[in-house]
Amino acid sequence: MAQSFRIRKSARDWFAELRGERAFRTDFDSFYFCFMAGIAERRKNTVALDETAELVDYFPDRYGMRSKLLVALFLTRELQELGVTMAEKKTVHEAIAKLVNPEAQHHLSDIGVREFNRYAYGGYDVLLDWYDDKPRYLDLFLISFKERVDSTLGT
Amino acid sequence: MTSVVKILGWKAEGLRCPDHELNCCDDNGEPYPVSLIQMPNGTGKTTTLMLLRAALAGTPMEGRWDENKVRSLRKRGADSDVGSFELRLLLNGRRVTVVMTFDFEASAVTYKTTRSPAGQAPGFDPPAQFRRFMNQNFVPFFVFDGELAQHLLDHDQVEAETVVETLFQINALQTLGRRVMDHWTHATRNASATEERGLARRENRVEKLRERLQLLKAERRKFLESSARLRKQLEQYHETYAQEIGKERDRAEQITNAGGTVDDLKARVREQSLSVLDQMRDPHALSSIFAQTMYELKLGLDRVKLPESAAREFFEELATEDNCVCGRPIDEEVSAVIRQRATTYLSTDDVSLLNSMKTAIQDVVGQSRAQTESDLEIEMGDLEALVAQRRDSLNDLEELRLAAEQADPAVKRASEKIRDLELEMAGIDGELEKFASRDTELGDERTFGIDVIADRLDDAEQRLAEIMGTITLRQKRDVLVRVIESARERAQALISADICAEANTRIRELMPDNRIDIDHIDRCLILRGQEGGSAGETLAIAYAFLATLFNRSEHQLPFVVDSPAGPIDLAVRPRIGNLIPKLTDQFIAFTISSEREGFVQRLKQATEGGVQFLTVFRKGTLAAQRVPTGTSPTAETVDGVLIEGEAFFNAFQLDKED
Repeated sequence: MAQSFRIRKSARDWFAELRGERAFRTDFDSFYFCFMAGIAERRKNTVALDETAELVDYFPDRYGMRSKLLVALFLTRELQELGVTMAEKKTVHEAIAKLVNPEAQHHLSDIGVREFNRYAYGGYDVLLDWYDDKPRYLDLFLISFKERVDSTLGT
Repeated sequence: MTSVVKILGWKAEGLRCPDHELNCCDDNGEPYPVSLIQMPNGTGKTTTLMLLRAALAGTPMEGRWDENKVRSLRKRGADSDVGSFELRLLLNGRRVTVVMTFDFEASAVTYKTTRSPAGQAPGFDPPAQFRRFMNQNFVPFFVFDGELAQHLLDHDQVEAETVVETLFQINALQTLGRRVMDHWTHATRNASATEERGLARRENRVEKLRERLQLLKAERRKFLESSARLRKQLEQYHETYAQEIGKERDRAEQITNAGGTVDDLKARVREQSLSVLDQMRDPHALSSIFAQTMYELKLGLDRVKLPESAAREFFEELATEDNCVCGRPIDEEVSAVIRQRATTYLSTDDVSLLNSMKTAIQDVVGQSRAQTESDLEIEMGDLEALVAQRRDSLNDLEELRLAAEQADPAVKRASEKIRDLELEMAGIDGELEKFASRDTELGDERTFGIDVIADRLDDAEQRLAEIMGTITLRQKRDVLVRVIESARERAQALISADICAEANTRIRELMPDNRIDIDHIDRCLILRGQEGGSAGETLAIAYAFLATLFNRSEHQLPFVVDSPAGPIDLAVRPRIGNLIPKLTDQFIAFTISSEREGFVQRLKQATEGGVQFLTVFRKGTLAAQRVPTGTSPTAETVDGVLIEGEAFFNAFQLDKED
């Protein structure tokens, strides 16, 4: 059985008000924003299992349509982290083979999903750096999230 | 098993109240259904009530018999160093006598209990089945004063919940839960540890975590109650505010219109936010940099021709052949090398996944890396514009409100109160947040997250169970405790709902014009839409609530009340008089002369079996001087006079001793 995506419990609590006002449909929305913040800042973290909550072993809702893009983004960051360029065909081969599993609904191997989750764990730390307080209004959160991502990526 | 408690009488000697002996029974030895004891204030009513409670509970109501408490009961100017209070009871038809002896020299109180067939025994020793009523927690419900009535409606008290739990034995489920826990603790204590090392440490940790969890839950509950109370107050002040604003018609209309604009913009902001959120779920919309990164991955893979057309399976098959595709023979050594190197190739499925990933990238960002982000930015611009409009409309509304406050002090007062309450609520919400904290960095004593502590306790119990070899037992314990807790909550909810409904019928009978309703029981009685009532209303609610409880319960307890009609309006008193005989089989009340009006006659009419009228006062006081010539006391002591009879009772006119 494929490993599931996991969210830090504290991250889930941090987004509680957006979940509460039915802005975020599922906890995967919270996970997604953590993941994207982690990817933007290239920050990973390792967290004890009991500090995390299990989500699903697939990309739910609209994320299902974008699953391969999210995996592509993840692979890009992983290759960058390994310092691998596309010219090193064999190493790229090995790295991708290690991280993906076509049989899993989320296309990730156990190692892959673990590393994917680590971006979400680190991304929550990024959010804590970005924001003084937990988000209470969806509109303000989205506007500032976009600004932070742009600022981090230098656009 | 049904429990029937009757008070036959009592005798006080050498104590602060006048020495007296009361017999609450008729000539046949049967307790009167109603005994009215008229005692002017200052005669020792409070002392007598306190002694009754202490004799019924085996201890004073608050704390223990300490030096001050004992000495305060000594008769003024008395020579004797001892005093006594004797209470005669009938418990399920058997006589039981509790005697409290006061040693003022040693500042000590000793109890003796006499009952058949056990005879006299030292200490407080009623039959076991009566102990759940005859204790410090329960006695105040049937030896009752205005203070308890207040407590029933006080958020800081748990009186209402306690009495329901005790009378309907819901707390037996709690006891059962505790027994299960005790059993487990006992079993783990007796089990021989497979590894002695660390056992005491694990036990201590479990114990400390349990205490911590209990403490945090209790604290959170307090804050939740305060929060609920403040929320209700806030609702009321919002209503008040709306009413005050509404008095000035033009301004009220302007504020209503401005409020409508704010609501409309809030809805539009929400709609636009959800649309933007949906777009942001596309990673390439969030930033063209992400789009570019993905696109470069695709280009890079294309450039180095990945995935290759040859998949891992091709080489795995080749390794099993005798000859290579180039014609050279494949021996075992070569075969092993081919197999090992095959792992560096992607499988057919991997190839297929990478190809579909490249297609997906091409589909969304192949034409343009910036287009999706541009689309998002347009939507984001619209959202920002709406947010700005909402802010402006809120400012407009706020200005109108400020103008209203400046023009009308009543509006200002309500507004200030709302702001204060909101501030207070924010403080409480902040406190409550710490109980939801997931922070696991700090030690147990500095951790406030209830789930964190619960997880730690679970872990600690598991570790203890491991060392003790009692894992299965622990699992059974957990299931059983969950079942018991769920049963308790369900029983509490259903019984409370029934009791509230029935008590509300009684309240409407007692006070048809007051529109007071009990909404639910959450520790105390929670009234619908209001915090509390006048002293009279509170007492009437207490009567209605307790009457419902005592009527529904199979147990029969006496009801002893101080000042049963004192704070109640004259108009309501007859209804209380009608209700009291339905409360219980034995009602004993301490009254003063001014309480009789509107109450005593109706009570007498409603009581089958007769009302006992007793008047007690001190010798040598104003009351004594007012006794008509020729009136013979029923009983006389060194400092007290008792006169039995309705005529004297009704003629007696003195509320306070001189």
